[in-house]
Amino acid sequence: MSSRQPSSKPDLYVVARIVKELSDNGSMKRTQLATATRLSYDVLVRYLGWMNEKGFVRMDGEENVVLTEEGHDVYERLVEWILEYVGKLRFPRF
Amino acid sequence: MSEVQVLTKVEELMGALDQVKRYKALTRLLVDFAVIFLAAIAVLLGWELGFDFYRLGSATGCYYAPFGEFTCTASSAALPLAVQLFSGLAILLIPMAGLLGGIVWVDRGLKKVEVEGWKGVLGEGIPGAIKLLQELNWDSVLDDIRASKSGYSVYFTVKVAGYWMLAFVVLFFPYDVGMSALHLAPNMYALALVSFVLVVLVARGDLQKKYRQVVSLDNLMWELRWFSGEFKAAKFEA
Repeated sequence: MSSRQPSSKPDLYVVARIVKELSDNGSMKRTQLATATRLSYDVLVRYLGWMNEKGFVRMDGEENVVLTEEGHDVYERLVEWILEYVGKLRFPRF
Repeated sequence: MSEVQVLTKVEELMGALDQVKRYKALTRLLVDFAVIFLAAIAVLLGWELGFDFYRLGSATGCYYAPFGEFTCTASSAALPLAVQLFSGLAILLIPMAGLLGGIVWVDRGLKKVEVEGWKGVLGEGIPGAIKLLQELNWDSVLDDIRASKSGYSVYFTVKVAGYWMLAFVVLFFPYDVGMSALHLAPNMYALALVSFVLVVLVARGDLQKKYRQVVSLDNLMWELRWFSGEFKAAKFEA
């Protein structure tokens, strides 16, 4: 796995797209993942490098990208956070 | 399950913000409405003045009536029938045209407001919800809500004033005929007051609903102010 990182702060939206694809489809080839997330291959590799360093993804023996338990937990935490805060909002009926 | 809840909540949030966009557009469109209506009044005054000048030019029967009113009794028979007919109805037709034109303009403007553009993004699921929340410009959203509140209040006032005018015009003829039949002088102030009371009574439910909507906008602003603070302060990096 490349250790190159996203050039600036990683975009949470892109990270979420990668995690969602991996969560829905299990392990995926990088090219498949790039297509599914509509990211250029280079950008995807940079993100995977960053996520690998954080321990969110790993490569299996067949060079497939796999979501780790930690990656899954982070995604769940993010969903819970949004739900906790957006869920508190009470919207008026116009 | 929690993903569905998140998406539902974000959908509600975006829907409420779309409504705010419409109200904000309404603020601008009401100015246009006022300009169109005033332009119609200016056209009416121009028409009446032109017509009077024409009759004055025809030099028949213009004189100062009691109470300083300048009156022309000249016959307009020389004018085409259509012009005579229009002249008689101009006082109704031109303001009505202005009113109708204004309403159409506001309606068209409101239809042009871009809403629900976020639905495709939200279709991506949680990542889409994150993108929408990330891209919201909270300061601008809060400013929009403030503008919407005042726009909505103006809309509310204009609507009541419009109904009031309408009620006055509708009641005027039966009132005038009734007072004439009783050989009494009509009191316009009383008619205006009765029209206003009637409008308030008939539109009471609608007025209460509109008031609640303004209060809702106020609540939404406070809720979002709190949420934007939480969202900005959140540390998402692992």
